[in-house]
Amino acid sequence: MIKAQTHTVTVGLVLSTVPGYSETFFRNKIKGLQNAGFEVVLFVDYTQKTDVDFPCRIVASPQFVGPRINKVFTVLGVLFKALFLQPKRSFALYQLDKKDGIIFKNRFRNIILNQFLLGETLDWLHFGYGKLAHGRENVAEAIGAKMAVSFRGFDLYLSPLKHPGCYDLLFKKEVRYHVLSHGMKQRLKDNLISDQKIHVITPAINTAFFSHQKPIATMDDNVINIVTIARLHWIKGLEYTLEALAKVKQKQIKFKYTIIGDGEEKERLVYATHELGIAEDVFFPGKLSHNKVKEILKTTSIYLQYSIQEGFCNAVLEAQAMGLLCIVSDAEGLKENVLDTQTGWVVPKRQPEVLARKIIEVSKMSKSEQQEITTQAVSRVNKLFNLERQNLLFREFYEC
Amino acid sequence: MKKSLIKKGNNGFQIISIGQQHWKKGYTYALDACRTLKDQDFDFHYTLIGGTKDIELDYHIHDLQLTDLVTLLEYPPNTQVQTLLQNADLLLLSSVADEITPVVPNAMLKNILVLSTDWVGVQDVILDGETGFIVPKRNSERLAEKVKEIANLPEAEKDKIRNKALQIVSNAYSDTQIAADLFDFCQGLKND
Repeated sequence: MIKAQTHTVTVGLVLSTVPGYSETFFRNKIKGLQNAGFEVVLFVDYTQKTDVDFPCRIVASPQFVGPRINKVFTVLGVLFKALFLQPKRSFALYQLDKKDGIIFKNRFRNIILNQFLLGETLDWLHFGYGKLAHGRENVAEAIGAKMAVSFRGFDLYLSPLKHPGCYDLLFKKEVRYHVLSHGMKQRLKDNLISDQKIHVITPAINTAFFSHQKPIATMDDNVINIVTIARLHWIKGLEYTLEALAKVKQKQIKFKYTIIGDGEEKERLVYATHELGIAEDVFFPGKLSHNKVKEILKTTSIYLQYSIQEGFCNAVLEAQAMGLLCIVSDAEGLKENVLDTQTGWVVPKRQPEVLARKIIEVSKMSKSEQQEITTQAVSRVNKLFNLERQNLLFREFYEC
Repeated sequence: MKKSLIKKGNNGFQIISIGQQHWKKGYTYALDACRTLKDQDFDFHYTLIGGTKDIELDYHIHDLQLTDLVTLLEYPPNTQVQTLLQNADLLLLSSVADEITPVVPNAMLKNILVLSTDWVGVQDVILDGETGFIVPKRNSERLAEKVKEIANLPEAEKDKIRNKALQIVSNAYSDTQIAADLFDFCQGLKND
């Protein structure tokens, strides 16, 4: 039950950059909160010219770049503001960091780097990714706000490997956590975070836009249209996917596989398609608009998301909503996104042989068996992963 | 760097790979093979020199629960590489694409068995079953099988392969042979 608003709740959302047009998660979240009467302030490391029409106030960090003299003047300007415009909050941050055993140099650095956050009056300071809270664990308390942190997958599972102990201090603080899946919730509980502090709010999609009334795209001419939407990054398991498809081809099954997305590992993947003998069957159209993605999904039968690591994955929700047969790996949130044999199929990651067998099995299922799965998937996505529900859960997140 | 990481007789069969991490090196296939070996209770340790500071390998090792069986090392000075190589049972090249580096002849000169994937050019140095072993690329199951097979070879068979490899590489990489190859190359240029 949502309490009646007594004053406008102000949420300061901390991100690295202003969400782009295609980054629907944060845009939808901000819009949903504003519609519910919240005020949202966005804090980012820097802004671009294209950010001017963003629908909330943006506060950008000062830029400590350029010639040394510029950096010195920037630091002096920031220090002046910290000492003379926010002296109490700066001192509070200094004292809290000191209490946590942070060395003097880093306490001083934290005041400089976080000054742009100290001047705002907020009810909530919400870090959009876990790693953004590193070095800022005491900022919320210093400004008298509550602290929230979202974990989105990479930051929970990979950042601690890259930076061991990076969340040790954060996990000792009074924080309300938002995670994308129950698996992520368990990971936080393994770090001794209490159950009540962790809220699972899954991603959501525009179910009105991603809807498709037609039956499953037919596998005409015996060619199966298969799609994956993903950054071209090792984390998405695309090399394993290509290996599986090479095995499918060895069984004389024809397919056209389209990977929608760009990324640093295109060379690795294109090389793999040539080596595996499937270069003529695999297409890399790059990043596409929502409308073009929808058009491609309309003519697709099978959607693959064979990731090695995945927080939850909006693209799989979109594919399910469009009535595609979805086969995903068991990486973290994916096995909650798709219910094995009910709304799609979940296969163990890094096992291309198993994935190949599943693709063949699914492609040979009767139309009625396929229809049963996709009907359940469409129904579940529409019911549980719509924007209205997500907005409601976020309002409760801040108000409960 | 831990100098005594690889000691023959300790921690089972000692496998080593040497080379800066790049997707062409196919280290993820080597790690997948390690997971298969672990599942089969094979006693081994895998040391990967040049694989540090790479989140893909770090995550792979963590996710496959190989932390105790795999050691990533920074590229040490050449003398330490030689020591590490000397103490290994098997040099593993898991590449999907590569070029012959001094590591392979070096290992052969030190009587270390070499197992490689079948990237173009490797057959110039390794003759499968005679001077080393070759398995198909991108096939971690086959890689794991072959590692076990090599470890279980009778010592006399291993010696035979080591000696043949030593003989071939000594001839191919002798000063006389290199000078002769260089002479032929220059003659070829002159004739062209």
